[in-house]
Amino acid sequence: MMNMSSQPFSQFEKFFISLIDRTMDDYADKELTPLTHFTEKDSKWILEIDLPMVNKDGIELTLTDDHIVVAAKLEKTYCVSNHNCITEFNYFKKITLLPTGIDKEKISAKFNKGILSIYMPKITTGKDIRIE
Amino acid sequence: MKMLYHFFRIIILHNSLISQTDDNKSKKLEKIPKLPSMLFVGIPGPGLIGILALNYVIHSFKMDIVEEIEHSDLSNIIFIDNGEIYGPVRIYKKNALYVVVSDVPIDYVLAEDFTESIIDFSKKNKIAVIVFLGGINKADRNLENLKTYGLVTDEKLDKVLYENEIPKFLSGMIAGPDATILTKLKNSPVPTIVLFTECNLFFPDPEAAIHSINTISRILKTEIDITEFKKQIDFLRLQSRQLMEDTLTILNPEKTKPAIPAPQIYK
Repeated sequence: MMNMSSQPFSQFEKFFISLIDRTMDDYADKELTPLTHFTEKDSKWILEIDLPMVNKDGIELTLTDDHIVVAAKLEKTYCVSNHNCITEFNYFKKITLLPTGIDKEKISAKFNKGILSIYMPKITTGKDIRIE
Repeated sequence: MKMLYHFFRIIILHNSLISQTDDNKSKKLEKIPKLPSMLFVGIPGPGLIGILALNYVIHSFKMDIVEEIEHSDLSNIIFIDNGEIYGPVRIYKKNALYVVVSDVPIDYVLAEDFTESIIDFSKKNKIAVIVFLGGINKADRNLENLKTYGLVTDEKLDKVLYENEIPKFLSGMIAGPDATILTKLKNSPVPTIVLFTECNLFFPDPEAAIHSINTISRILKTEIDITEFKKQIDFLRLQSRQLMEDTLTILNPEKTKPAIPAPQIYK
């Protein structure tokens, strides 16, 4: 595994660091926050999580009572230089509140080209309502 | 000259501070063939296509910052690089090629003033064509088969689309600040080409930005080597997360507000 901190940043990396770096991460716990997006379909919710620099084996997905927890190990240490202080990040972490009315037993996930998609089918069974 | 100082103020920088670029070799890229002066515009939008592509063009061509566009609503953010202070909206130049990039999202309110400044700058610098770059959402996009679509505000530019094999954006809807900007450009005397590349709307999409870079390369009739860009794809996705988040907040301001059911009449 290559540790990026051991290398000077390339000119192109520096260029982007100087231009568009901002902070959405947890510096105290040294965890990166991934971008996420929820889509509601008729029969399910889809939670997409952008996980660049991660491979499938490095992802842990945990279901709690009302949250889904994603922890993912980066393939390389990601360093952020801010005010001459370098912070090293090795993980993504995201805890997301589950939508209501989903069938937790049928949650499934797929990882493709750095995007983790979690499928949460809605519960469609219940009490019949009589139509008059 | 006064025309330049609308609500956005254009600041002319001294050449001495300006070279942001690598001293390394940049092969054939240094030469941009003689073309009419063109101004490429990229702001944070779907997939961050415009700014990802144009920042790489600036880097590849070793372009110099020549001006900044200032606005009172954007004065709460500056960037420091090598001890120099830069505003978030900058204009770069190399020969007859100009590029405007914004590193902060341009919201609905700012979009009009921003476009006015671009048009004024174009008139002052005798820009022949403005090229606006953006992204359009493509669900389940196929990376092997992404497309960049074009729109023109002057039918003479149809030829540019045809010669560069850019399919025309025939029907659809564009919403958000892009729509405000395009409306202004459509009514401006400076002819405009709009290039929209299919992308992931919600996440930074450097792979789609490569298509945009290739299209720019064809229009400029100059090879842009994307080897370095390809190596940085994951890095760019990591690096621009916050900007993507900020951009989505601008594109979808309702997202941050509590959901209030619309009155029945509007449903």
